[in-house]
Amino acid sequence: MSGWRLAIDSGGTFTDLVAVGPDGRELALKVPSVPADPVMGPMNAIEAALLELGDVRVEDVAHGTTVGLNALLQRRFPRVALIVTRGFRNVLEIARHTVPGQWGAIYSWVKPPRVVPLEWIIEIDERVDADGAVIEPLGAKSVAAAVERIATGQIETAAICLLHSYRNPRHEQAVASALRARLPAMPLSLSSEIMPEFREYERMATTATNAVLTPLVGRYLAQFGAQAQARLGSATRVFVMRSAGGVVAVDEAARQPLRTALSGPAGGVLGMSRLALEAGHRRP
Amino acid sequence: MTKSADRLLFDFTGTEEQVHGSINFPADARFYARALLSTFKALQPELLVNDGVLEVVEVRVPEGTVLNPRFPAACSYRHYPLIRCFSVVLGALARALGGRVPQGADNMSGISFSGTRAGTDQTWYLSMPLGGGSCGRPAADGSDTVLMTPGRNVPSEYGETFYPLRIREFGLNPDSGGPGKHRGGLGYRILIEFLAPARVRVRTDRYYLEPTGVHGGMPGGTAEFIINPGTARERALPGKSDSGEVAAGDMLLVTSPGGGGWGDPLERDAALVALDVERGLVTTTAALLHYGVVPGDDDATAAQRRKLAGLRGPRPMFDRGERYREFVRRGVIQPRTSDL
Repeated sequence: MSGWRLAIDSGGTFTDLVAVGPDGRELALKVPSVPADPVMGPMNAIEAALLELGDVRVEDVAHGTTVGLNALLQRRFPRVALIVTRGFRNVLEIARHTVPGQWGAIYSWVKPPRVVPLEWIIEIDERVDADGAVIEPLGAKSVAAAVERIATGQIETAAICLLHSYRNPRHEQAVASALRARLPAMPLSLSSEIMPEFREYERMATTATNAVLTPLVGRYLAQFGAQAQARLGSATRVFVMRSAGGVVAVDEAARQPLRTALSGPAGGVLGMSRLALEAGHRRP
Repeated sequence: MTKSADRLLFDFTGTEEQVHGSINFPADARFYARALLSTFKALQPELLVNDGVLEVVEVRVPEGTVLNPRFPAACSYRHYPLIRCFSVVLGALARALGGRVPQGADNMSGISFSGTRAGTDQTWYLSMPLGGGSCGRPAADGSDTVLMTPGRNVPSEYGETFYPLRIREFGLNPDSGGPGKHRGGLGYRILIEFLAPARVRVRTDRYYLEPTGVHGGMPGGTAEFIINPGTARERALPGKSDSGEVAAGDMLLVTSPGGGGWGDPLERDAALVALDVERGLVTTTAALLHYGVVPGDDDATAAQRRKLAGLRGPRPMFDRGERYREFVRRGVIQPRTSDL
């Protein structure tokens, strides 16, 4: 290791920074978060660190954030559309038809609203079977109609989840091309890229959730990556903490913001686990 | 249901004698005390139901009835009378509390298929548990496609990967939510194409009689199982049946029960009715006939609502639906209350 490494965790109130130098020197500091402009918290933390450290070379920046998690919890969603296979418009509403709790819970439990309102779930003509074979070709007219509705509906982000796309993503890719041709700036989330696994409800919910996070979290992470490199040098690598515990390059995280939804909490768990090991607790 | 100072009595005297069919529920009074009290979560969602209820709840279930059969008795579909008991208790609470209580969810349903793998002697079997809508309630609409017992639905991608069938449609059944100030939840509407011969078994609640509407609400939709709908070979399977045989290429249309509505549908916010129409949950016909709403036209809506209110008179506490009234007219059912 020849440069400093910075770890920055942003919560809703404070942003914490820990820096480790090539010689083992350490620095920890805290600045306020700025919810109205979430990039300011971690950037202010970087400025505060450089003020302490002077003109040092920074090798890595790792960032944990709760921006996506807070947007999910507060249901601050942009206008979103979801394109699905004809016959499967209600999959999100149906979910797995389960009710949390025991007998009697069904009478009081209210199924929460879905991330995409039903009027913005658009069916298209197409069908791929379980082996990935096309049994009904993509209906160009229905795709054009979907693109037109989205283009004229003040939609900010779109998701595409077609049946069996984990086996054959070509119909999803063709729909994405049609959307990009008309709306080059619109963020698109394809289920065959976000979570190419079978079981349509889970894949659709994951893809749609990624779509609603993309405008806010995607923009924020892209800005943070660009500003951090502008300040620290283009050789500095910028990573974002993922929900699963590892880190991912900031531009990749900006495309798949769902994977960093539990970014901040995951960093806390990893840190506590390490502390517990160092304190002599045997079970990690 | 009788409440005294410190006790609650549920008396099921008068319940039907046990039957040859498999809807007998073998259980004792202690079981029913705990099970029936779970319905009180409708009023108090945090209520913890444990053996403490035995000190305050007494249940009388005469031996030899469907709720307490003598050995031997067929029991494989025993959950249906139990779930109906929950709804009966909630109905009694509705009378006691002037209708201000959530109502039942008689929506347990399901389909299963079996056959032989092509070119082998290996059999296959797929069971698809289904729920339906829950009833509208004082604080909210009913929820769509929920089930009170454990058992998740079968993802279409799973079914198609491992079994010789194709799911053409896996959705909600429009207009199956009972009209009400708070609409009942919607049941399933599923269309399945068989790619190989199969035997079809179906079971459901609310096949003959509609889910009850409460406190002025109207009934929800019933379950249906129709083979090759809309063709010359169309035929319906009854609500509890294991006799369906289908060939490759046959289609099966399945609907599951909706929830009954709560409150007078003419009092439902017209904007919510219009949104239900936009979302494809309520048809324009039902919006006009049951809710008196013409989406986007306030004057026409006001006129239609005045007209319907005049035609129809005050709404009853329980609306068991047109099919129930037909059974009463034919003498199949002898009603015990004045709420027809």
